[in-house]
Amino acid sequence: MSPLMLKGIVVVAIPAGMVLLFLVYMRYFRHRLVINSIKYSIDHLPMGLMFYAENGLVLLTNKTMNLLCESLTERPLMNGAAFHTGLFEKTFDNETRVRGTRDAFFLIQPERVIHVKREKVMINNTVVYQMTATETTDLYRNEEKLRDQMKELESAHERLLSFDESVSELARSEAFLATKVRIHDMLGQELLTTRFFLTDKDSDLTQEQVVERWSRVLEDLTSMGQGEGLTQVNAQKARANDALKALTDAATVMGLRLSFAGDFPEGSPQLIRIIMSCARVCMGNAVRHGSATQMVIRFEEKETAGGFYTIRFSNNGVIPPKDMPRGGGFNAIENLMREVDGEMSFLFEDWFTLVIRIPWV
Amino acid sequence: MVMLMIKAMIVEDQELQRDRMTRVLQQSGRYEVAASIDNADLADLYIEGRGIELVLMDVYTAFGADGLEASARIKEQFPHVKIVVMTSMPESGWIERARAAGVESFWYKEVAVDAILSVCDRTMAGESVYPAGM
Repeated sequence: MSPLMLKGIVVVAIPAGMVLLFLVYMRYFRHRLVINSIKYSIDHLPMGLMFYAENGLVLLTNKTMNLLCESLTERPLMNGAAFHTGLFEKTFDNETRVRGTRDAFFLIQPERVIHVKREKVMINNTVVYQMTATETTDLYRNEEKLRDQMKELESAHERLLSFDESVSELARSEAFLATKVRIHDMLGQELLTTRFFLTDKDSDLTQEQVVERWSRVLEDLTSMGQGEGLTQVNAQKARANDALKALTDAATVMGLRLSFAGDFPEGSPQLIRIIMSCARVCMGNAVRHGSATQMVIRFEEKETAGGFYTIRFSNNGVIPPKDMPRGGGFNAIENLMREVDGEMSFLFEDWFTLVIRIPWV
Repeated sequence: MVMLMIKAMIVEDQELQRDRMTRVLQQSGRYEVAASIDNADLADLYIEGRGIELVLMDVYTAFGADGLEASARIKEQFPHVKIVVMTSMPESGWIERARAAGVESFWYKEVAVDAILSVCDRTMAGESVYPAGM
């Protein structure tokens, strides 16, 4: 082979070989995972990562961990164990608070919170420590807020429990007081009656009547002692019966036959007063303007939602026009309903009816 | 000559007091107690139904019904009816309310019950009887 030919082959072969090598590299090696690519990825993790041996020798660390070490210690990361201990024991910075255990703790600084975690792993039968450091500022602050809110809720809960106990205690005290007042009134009346019987020569009471009255008092006191008169429910029932009787008597005086439908609602004297006031107005108007002879007061079951009573006052008198002028009586009821957050309306059907809806009182 | 008795109504929640006042008025021969109730809220119905001319009204009656409030209502509806408000509590505010409602007379129950007869007679004669100095 001539030297010229040999030169030509070398000149062509070398670039061709390079091109071939390049093509082989591009096809086979470019996408293979190599140490550099792994290191590159680790360096760009958003968290600090470090592996160190039992004696503290740093085996692998990423950029984030290095930067963390420098920002906290103002020195490069040389010994993993010393760095970890320094973080936990706050050797580097007295302003930083630490919360947690040696293997998992929070570094709490004014501007940021870092979660540091350490784990012992075995690699090729050798103990290696893996340490991570993750910024968790937002998460930590939210957790703190939730904890504070939780404390407030617990405190409010305690107050509610205490309030509930106070209310129960108050209800019990009221019931006892009501009973004491009843006993006081009952005994007071009978003592006065007896005194007048003994001192008033004009008294038309007889000895038998006085003794009879005292017998009734003893009966009442005995039934109270057996629990029949002590409860608030019994007091309410007695009030309801008295109210019904008073209304019936008043209706009779007005020439009205009064009847009731449904159960008289359990409630306070205020509720009874409302019912009495409405009944008074209705009875007066029914007789004066409607020439009514019958009246029905219907108590409807309280609604299961919202806690309202609906009470209807109907009479068989002349039905007024729907645009009837409202007198002082109905105006007064309207004002009363407004005061108790109740409602008032009328029905102009077979019988004229006043309908009131009042919250439980 | 038959003397027409004045029809009176007693509104008082204490039964004993009602009985005693009824006895005093009726024994005078000048008054007929046409109604005796314990609840001021229903008083106006009795006035209309029984033709009442004089009301002896307690301030605090059954179910907490306010006698002064009832008195104001009665004077508005039945101006001819005379009212004597009674109480055992020395609450001066009530005297002012009674005057404002147009009530003719005011009597403290602590005074002997027979005195009520004198108050009623004077009231029906057109006098307005209020505690001295009030």
